[in-house]
Amino acid sequence: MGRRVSDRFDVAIIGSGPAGLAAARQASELGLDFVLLDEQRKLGGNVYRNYEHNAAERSDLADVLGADYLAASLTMSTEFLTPENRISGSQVFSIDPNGEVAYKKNRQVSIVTADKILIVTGAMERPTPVPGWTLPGVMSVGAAQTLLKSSALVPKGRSVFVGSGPLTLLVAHQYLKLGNPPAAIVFTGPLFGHRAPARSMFRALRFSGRLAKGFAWLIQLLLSKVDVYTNACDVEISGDSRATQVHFHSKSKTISLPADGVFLHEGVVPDSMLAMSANCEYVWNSAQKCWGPKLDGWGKTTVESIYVAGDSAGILGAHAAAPSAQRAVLSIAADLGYLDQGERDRQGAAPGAALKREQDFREFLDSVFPPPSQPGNDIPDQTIVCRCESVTAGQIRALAELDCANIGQAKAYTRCGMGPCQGRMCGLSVAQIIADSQKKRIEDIGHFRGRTPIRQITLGDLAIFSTNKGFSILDREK
Amino acid sequence: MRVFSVTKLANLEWADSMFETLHAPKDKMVTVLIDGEKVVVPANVSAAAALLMQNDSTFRLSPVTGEPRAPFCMNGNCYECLVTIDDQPDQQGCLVEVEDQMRIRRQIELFRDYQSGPQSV
Repeated sequence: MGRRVSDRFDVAIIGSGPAGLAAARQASELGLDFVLLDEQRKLGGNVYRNYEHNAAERSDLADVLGADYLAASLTMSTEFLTPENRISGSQVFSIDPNGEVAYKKNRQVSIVTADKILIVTGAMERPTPVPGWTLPGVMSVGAAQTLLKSSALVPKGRSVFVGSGPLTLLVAHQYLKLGNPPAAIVFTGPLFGHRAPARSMFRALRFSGRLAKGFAWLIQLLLSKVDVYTNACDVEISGDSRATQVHFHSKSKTISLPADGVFLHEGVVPDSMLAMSANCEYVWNSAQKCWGPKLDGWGKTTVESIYVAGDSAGILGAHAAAPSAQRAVLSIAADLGYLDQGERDRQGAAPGAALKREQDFREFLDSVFPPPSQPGNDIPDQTIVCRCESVTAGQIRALAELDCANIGQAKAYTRCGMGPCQGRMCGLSVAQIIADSQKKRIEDIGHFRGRTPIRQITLGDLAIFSTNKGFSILDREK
Repeated sequence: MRVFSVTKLANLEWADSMFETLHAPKDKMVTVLIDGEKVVVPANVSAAAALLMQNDSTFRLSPVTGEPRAPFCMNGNCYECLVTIDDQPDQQGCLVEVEDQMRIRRQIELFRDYQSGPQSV
């Protein structure tokens, strides 16, 4: 008989993308008792979403999704996963430093406990508030790609991509290959991206394969019938009950394009809700313009039992996910006495070096596709920033002018960040608007404190737990 | 801020669906009920994807303003894909896979309930 889920594991791994799978493999090799949870029912995370099905059944799609995606199905063996140590389709809504991980699966709430918790929930796209972005027909570029990978859907009619970054190029390239090209791509930066410093460019030369791939996508795009615009600003989307037009300025011209679907993208930021809700300390990353967990060199947060790795530790991309997760698991194993410190350091050296290489490449990417430079000031007053509560940039700005001291006050006065998404979509923008209008550093404005439960649960779910003495969600808030 | 009136929303018309499926002939299909109407969709797609293949991709009306909304991120973060699934309101359509005979409802009427305030039972 398998173990009951109420038993204690050595480590609970949350997320089954490339970092989660590498962590599970490493844990199994070191003899750790692990449990792997993921919101999706399928392995692979966002980057390799649905790879098992697509590689086995949809060679047509797998081809379009690319060699890297296909390779995932070969390299990510999963023989270490069993029905006992894998809980898929589970939304973790609470983690506690004492090791309790509470989740909801098939409308049932349950808890697993583990000595250590490893958060590998990856990244989310940086929300891109522009006027009209709440209209049906406007989505993120990542959403479009998710629909392709998981459901084999492509947009109908005229689609217009707006933004920058490698993902924008990649998805446009994939749509081209499918014979369903976007009508236009509107880059918010220069055609070949911004110029990287010589040192960083030089280091990037080691990744000639990746650079060549990016160039090839761009060249194919330029040779195709897709209209390409560069250095676009003042993007606005209009339509009555759905998006029908995109407007922007490019090279001092005003351009309006008809669109049936508009896809926005300005890079990705770490998913931070879980670790923030457990009071792990976060610090501002000024190069990537996002919050990241404060970590020791091995992924350990400021909360003893909680580790973060992969893109949720700081954006380094899919190639860095495995080495980052391996190091975290090595450190967890050392903490739990499976390894001594010397052995951890010895085994952690190779993944450490791989991680360093990826950091070099990321530094290059970050300078070629930098996050928006004045993200707060650039958002017009009428733009909804908090989609859930329909709070506009103007409302936040008015508060900032009244000396609103921090992001918590903005929340209390406007309800921004208090809807179902709990500030996932507006947190960065709200802080940036306040910081930019008060000419302060974003560190002084702060971030929303993610609060348990970080996913929606019903009062009935909570009531079940009120009878469970082991569950501390109810008395955590002091 | 522009607030849509409920009467106006009743007249919303979408000429076409936002997405189409590249499903292969051998794909398994299931029947789901979208606002009570039977629709055949490929198995294993998300409830949100099933709705995005239909002619009206409005998922819900913002409970605050009444404006039409539809999924933005498809990744569990934006909560714009909230739909009622098998009588459970506010389910994240992007995270739920369709099942045969699943009942998916757009949250248009739910907005009207919000607007009309608490009902006596």
